[in-house]
Amino acid sequence: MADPERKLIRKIKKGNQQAFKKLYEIYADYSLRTAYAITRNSSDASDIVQETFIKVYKNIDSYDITKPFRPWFYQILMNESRRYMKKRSKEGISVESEQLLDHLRNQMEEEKNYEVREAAMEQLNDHHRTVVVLKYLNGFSEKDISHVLDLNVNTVKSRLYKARQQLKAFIGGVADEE
Amino acid sequence: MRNDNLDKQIKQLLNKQTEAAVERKQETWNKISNELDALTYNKRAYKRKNQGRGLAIAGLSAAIIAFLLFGAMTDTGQAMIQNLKDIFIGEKEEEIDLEGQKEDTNVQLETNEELRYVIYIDQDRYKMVEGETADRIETIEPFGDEYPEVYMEITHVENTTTEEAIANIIERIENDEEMELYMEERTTEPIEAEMVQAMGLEYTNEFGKFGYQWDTPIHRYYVTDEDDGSVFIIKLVYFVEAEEGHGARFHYMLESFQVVN
Repeated sequence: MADPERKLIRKIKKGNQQAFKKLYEIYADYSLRTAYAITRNSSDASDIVQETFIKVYKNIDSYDITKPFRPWFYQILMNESRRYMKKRSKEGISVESEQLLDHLRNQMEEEKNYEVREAAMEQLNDHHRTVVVLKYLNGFSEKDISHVLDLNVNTVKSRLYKARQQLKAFIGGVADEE
Repeated sequence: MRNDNLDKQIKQLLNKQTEAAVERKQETWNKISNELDALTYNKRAYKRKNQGRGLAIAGLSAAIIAFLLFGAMTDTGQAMIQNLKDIFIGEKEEEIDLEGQKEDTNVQLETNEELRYVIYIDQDRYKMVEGETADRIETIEPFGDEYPEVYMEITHVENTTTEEAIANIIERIENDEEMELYMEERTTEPIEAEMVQAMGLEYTNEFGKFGYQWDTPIHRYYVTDEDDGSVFIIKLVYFVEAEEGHGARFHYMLESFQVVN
């Protein structure tokens, strides 16, 4: 962990709320993007990130400062995301109005090829999309992903391979047309 | 399609696809901030109820202060000098480990706005006494004359370096006929600092045993790294028998010491 971040965490452990706001500034963008990429719903993504930061705040005393903070943080984020996905599948909600609006907004703004690529991502199942998001959006290594998701590293490699194959089939097709 | 090209396209796609979520950043923070306020407020209410005595909360409650602080905060606003009491939680409960026993303590924020430092003190056992040259954390219940002194003292020294401050401390210890230098080391706990410890002289007690005794004084100095030509010196004063008690409590309180620039 970078030294300034370690100092920031120390301050949070000491009760400094301003330091907590700074931590939010550092992690908010990518945690929102990650939760959104997994749930495909910006309202759910906001709720997930809210719950994640509250859990970080409540449990910061149990965080071991000698270990890297980012995987610890993403473990909480991924657990919250899973919890939301499970809840959503139980409620049987497929497309919420929020999601539809996001989609329409995108549709107006983006060109046709992008829609095809977007569809490629949409057709990945949740397991495959999650590893792709952690690797390509957040830059995690396969080992880090296995740690964050509590999976065997070979499982991560296998999921990434399959996801890439599916994406290649879609994106490759589009690229060939261009 | 080449692999690196595919990687690039996946990255671009994910970044583009998730842009909409970032628009929720401020809204999400507002929800977090409100929940933090509620957490702080509920904790206080719980403590008041369980302690059976009112805790004076001067002026605005922390919840309102936090709301005003974070609600009105902008990027440029954060750069302004803020009242330290507005930045930190006023009171909290902490679990500490004393001789292997877990203990919950109520700690209260003490600030020195002029010197820009904060420390949480165990409000059931200690009090902050502000002095002209140093602030002292003393026991609420005074000790009898038969006991050596117990206190923590915070001093700000200007126009000096960490090395100079340590040299002065060592010189004072060497000139003190009742104390001797015991150890000197760099510490990361309870704070990052240079530490110098002095102890009273060994002597023979009434049972004929020579060495450090129950009432041998311990003076521990923590000198912070120099910042803008000044350092903080935190002096912990207690005695051998009080090491696991007051010594440990001082250690936990000192962990919360923080200078806010």
